[in-house]
Amino acid sequence: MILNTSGGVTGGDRFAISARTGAGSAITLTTQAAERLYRAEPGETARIDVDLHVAEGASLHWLPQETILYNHANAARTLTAHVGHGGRLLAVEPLIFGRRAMGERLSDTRLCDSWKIYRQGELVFADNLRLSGPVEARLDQSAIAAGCHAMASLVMLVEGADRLLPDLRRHLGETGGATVIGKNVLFARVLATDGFELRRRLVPALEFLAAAPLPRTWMI
Amino acid sequence: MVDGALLTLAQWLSPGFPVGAFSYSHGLEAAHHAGDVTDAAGLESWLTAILSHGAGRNDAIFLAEAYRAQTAEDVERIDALARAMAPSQERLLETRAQGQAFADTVRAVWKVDQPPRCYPVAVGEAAAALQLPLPDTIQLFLHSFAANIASAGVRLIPVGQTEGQRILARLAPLCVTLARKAQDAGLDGLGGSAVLADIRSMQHETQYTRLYRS
Repeated sequence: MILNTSGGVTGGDRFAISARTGAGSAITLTTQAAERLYRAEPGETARIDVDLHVAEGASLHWLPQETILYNHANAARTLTAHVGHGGRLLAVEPLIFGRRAMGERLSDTRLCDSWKIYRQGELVFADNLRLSGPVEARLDQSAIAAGCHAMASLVMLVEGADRLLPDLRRHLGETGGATVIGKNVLFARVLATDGFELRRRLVPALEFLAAAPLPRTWMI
Repeated sequence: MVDGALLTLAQWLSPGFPVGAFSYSHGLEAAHHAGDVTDAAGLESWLTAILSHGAGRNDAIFLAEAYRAQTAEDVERIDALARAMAPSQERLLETRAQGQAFADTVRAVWKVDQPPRCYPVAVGEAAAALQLPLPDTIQLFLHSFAANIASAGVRLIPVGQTEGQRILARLAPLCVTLARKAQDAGLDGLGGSAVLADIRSMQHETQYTRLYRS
C-alpha cells in the first residue's frame, strides 16, 4: 500500500517508487486513494518514477487508483519494469482529466507517461502518452478520446495471454480494446466518459486479469 | 543533392511501390464501423489527429533518427523501440510487413542491404545509404502515410475522389511542419495521444467483415 502523505503532487515534486519481488513470490501494490496532480508553477514539472523488478517465476501487480489531472498540472511519469523468466506483471494507470463535478476544463495541462517493459532484458513494450496544452480540446477529437474524460492503459506479461482476450474485451466494452503484441505481451486501453464509468469497466477487467478481488482501498 | 534524389523518393513512396500499403487502413476501417468517421470532415479530422498526435509524428521521428544513426547497432536500437511502441498486433504487422517489403525491393533494385525493420526505420536507413535528403524523405513519407489512409477512407466511408484529394492537399502544410519538427525531436520527443485510434486498431482484430489487414 502506497500512501502519499503530502496529499497530492505539484510542480517540482520528485517521487521515486521501487519494488522488487523475490523469486517465486507474489506482490500487489496499490495506492491508498486517488492521486492528484495539482496545478504547477510555470516551468516546474513534477516527476514520478516507478521502477518494478519481477524475479524469475514471481508475480507483481501494480494497481494504483486513479490519477486526477487538475488544470495547469505539469507532470512527467515513468514506469519501468524488468521481468525475469516466467515472471508475471500486471500494470495499470487510470487517468481522470479534470474535476468534472466542478466543471473544470483542462485548458493548459501537461502530462507525459512513459512506459518501458523489459522481459529478460529485451524491450517488449513501450508507450509514451503525451498530452500538452489545451488538453480538453484535444480529448474532444475523434481519434484521441471522442470527448471522454477518463482512460486507463494496462499491460500484462503472462503465459497464455491470448486466452484472456475474449473475456477481457467483453469487460472493456465498446470504448475499450485489448491485443496481444508479440509473445504473451497483452496491452489494453479503455476510454470512459468519467471516473465512475471507467471503474465500471476497469474493476471487473482487473479482477478478471488478477484472478482476485481488487485491494480493499479501491472499494472505500 | 544527389541527382534524381527526388525521383527515387517519389518512386519509393508512391502507392505503386510494392509494400502493400493499400491493404492497411491503420484502424480507420474499425473507426468507420464504430461510427467515429462517417464523412469527409470526419476523415480530415481523424487524419489530422493521427498525423499530429499519433503514428504520423512518431514515424517521422523514427525515420529521422534512423537516417542519422551512426552505426548498425544504433539503427537496431531505434528499430527495437519502434517495434515495442506498436500499440496493437495489427499495427505491428502494418509497420513490420511494409518495412520488410520495402527492404526487399530496395535491396533488389538499389543494392542497399538492410535487415528487417519497421517501415519508417527502413526508409530512414535506406535514404541515408543513398544520401537522399532527409527533409524531403520525411515529408514524402508523411504524405504517403496520409494518402494511404485517405484512400482507405474514400473507399470505406465513402468520400468522393475529389474530396479525398482536397483533404490531402489541405494536409500538405501539416506534413511539412511535422517533418521539420521531427528532425530535431529526438527519441525523447516520441509519444502521442491517439488513444481511440489505438483502441479501434485493437478492435479491428475481431471485426467480422473487413477489407483491410489493419
